[in-house]
Amino acid sequence: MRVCDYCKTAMYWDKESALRAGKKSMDLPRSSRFKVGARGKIRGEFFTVLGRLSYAHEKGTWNEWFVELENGEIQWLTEDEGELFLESPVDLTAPIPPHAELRPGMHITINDKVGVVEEIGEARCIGGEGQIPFQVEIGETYPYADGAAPDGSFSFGLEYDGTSGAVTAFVGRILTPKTAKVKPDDREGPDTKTGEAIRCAACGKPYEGPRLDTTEMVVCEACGSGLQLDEAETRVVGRNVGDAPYFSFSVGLPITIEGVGYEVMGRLYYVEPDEDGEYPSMEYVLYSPENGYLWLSEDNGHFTISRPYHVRFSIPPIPVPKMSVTVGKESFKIYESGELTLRWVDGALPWTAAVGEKTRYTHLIKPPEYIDQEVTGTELELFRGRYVDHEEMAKAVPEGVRLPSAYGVYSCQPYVPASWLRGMWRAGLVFLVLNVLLFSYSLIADKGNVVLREQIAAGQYKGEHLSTPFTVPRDRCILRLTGTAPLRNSWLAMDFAVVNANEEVISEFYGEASYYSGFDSEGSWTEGSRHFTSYFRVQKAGTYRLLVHAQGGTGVAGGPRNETVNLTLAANTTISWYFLIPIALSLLAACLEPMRKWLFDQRRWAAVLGDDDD
Amino acid sequence: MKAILTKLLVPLVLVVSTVTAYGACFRGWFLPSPLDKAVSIREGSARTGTGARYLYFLGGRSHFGGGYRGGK
Repeated sequence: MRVCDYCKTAMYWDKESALRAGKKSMDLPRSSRFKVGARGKIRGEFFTVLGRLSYAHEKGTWNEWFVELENGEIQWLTEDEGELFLESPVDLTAPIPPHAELRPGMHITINDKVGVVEEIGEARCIGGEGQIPFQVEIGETYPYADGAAPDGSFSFGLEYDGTSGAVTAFVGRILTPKTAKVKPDDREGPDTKTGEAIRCAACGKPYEGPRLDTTEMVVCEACGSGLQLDEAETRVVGRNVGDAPYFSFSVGLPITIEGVGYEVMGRLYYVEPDEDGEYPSMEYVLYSPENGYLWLSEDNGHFTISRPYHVRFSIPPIPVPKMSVTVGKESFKIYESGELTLRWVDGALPWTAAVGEKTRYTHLIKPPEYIDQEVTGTELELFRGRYVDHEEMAKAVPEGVRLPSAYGVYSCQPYVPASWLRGMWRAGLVFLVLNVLLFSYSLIADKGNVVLREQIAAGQYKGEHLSTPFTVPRDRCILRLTGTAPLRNSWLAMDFAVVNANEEVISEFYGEASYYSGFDSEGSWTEGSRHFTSYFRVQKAGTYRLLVHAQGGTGVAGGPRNETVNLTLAANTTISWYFLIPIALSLLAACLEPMRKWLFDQRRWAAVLGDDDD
Repeated sequence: MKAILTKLLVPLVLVVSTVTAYGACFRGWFLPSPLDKAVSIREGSARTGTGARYLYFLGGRSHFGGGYRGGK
């Protein structure tokens, strides 16, 4: 088959007739990427474009470029919504399920390969150009299905014969826009934004907004009708109702992301019912002639960018937040699933989006990345993207464009430590280790050599009692005096004086103990202790004694019970508990950032785990 | 500025608390200081003339009874 370059009539060569003229092809949309006769490279391999067929389906159109590789191999380069697939026909050795049995997400076997069905529909050939290696009638329809391998390693297309149900299968690779390019001279050049005049099929006013060769739908700026452009004439596919929602960015706004200049082509406003009514989110369709389409989403003042993705994963029938899902070799967590309703759309889109249409989604996160699985009608799509912080977004938009304030923590928002917290955990950890070591050393260094044990009766301590002598073994020695008395709802307050060999007091200290117990409505209780511990320091080694005086009592003002006190004095001690203070402080410094991150994660999940305070 | 202050302040607090803990634990920094001048345990006895009994605390130095008389 060949399509006349001049009159666009399809011409066929077949066995019965040397030449037969078919239906006239529509004016096909221009492509800024390829054209018939152009030469280019696919992953370093030269190819020549021989012809093209354009098909329309429920959501728009796609191009199939018939290319010849350098080695003479013939392949199909499919261009759909800005994505590229290089496929070639395969002979089926095993049956494929009938078209009616296919469902989005269904796994099917194509010879020895397992693929996942992504899109099911009916395609109609709307025209072609150049040479086509088989006969196809302009206007003919056939059921089809598209899909990809679970890991995205290959793509496939299935074409069903409308009458016999026979299946033709194509298998190939998913290409990035940069891996398949023609020479700049061979391009047709980007479309003008307005292209040929489009008149709204609802109100008759001309559409003067942006439009590209890949545009499948524009929205009338006058009446808000969605106009599908895949046919010779525009067709109304939906209409905006009410006032336009507030979008942060206008159609036509230039946005530079990852060093690539994009332009806002279209805007979509979705709502999802929640306990407060409706939860809104916005999506901007960005386009770059070099990089194709990019989806920019805005949710509660947070921004994400995403692109189509083809690695499949299995989602449990009942998705539960925080549940892990393996995607290729990565692990994502389910955040939420739900249903979005398209409430408003404007600008130009590479697919047909009708106001009111519903999309079921499952949102997986691995901050700052995320994957969305979306099912709209009979199409299953995956998008993978990342969080864009306000700093990056502010640089991406022209000066003067005001960004909305971000509220709460977004699902895939990465935790960014505050500058004043960065590295603090290291300092905390260093001091934590140091103080734990010092604490341990102080416990070991506490020899606790007992130098005095003495029992002092009430009759002795009521006056002033001088203990037996004890020896302080070294200068600047810390000593620990522990006392125990059989207190029963009583108290004992003791004065101690350290007395040197000349019977002179060189220092004083004290100790006290009180112990109370009883019964009340909640049972028995005790308060205080029968023991006390006091530390004191002696500057010089030598022989010393303790001068002891004590007073006791019971209750608030009761008389003394005259308990006997047992004293034990130990030398070469340390006071280890002081290290607990720097240990606590360094632990706080070390944990401050992890704690902040934990709180951040708590806020991230609160929205879907039912504890949202925002 | 805030970050610099914090980055200086936090390590400083950790250093100070560690050094203080070291001094308190091994050097007894917060233990009662020795008296500036040694006081005879018989000082009170002599003053009150009670003979052989010590009246160091009972003479008025008790922390819990007669109040602190001083002497440092």
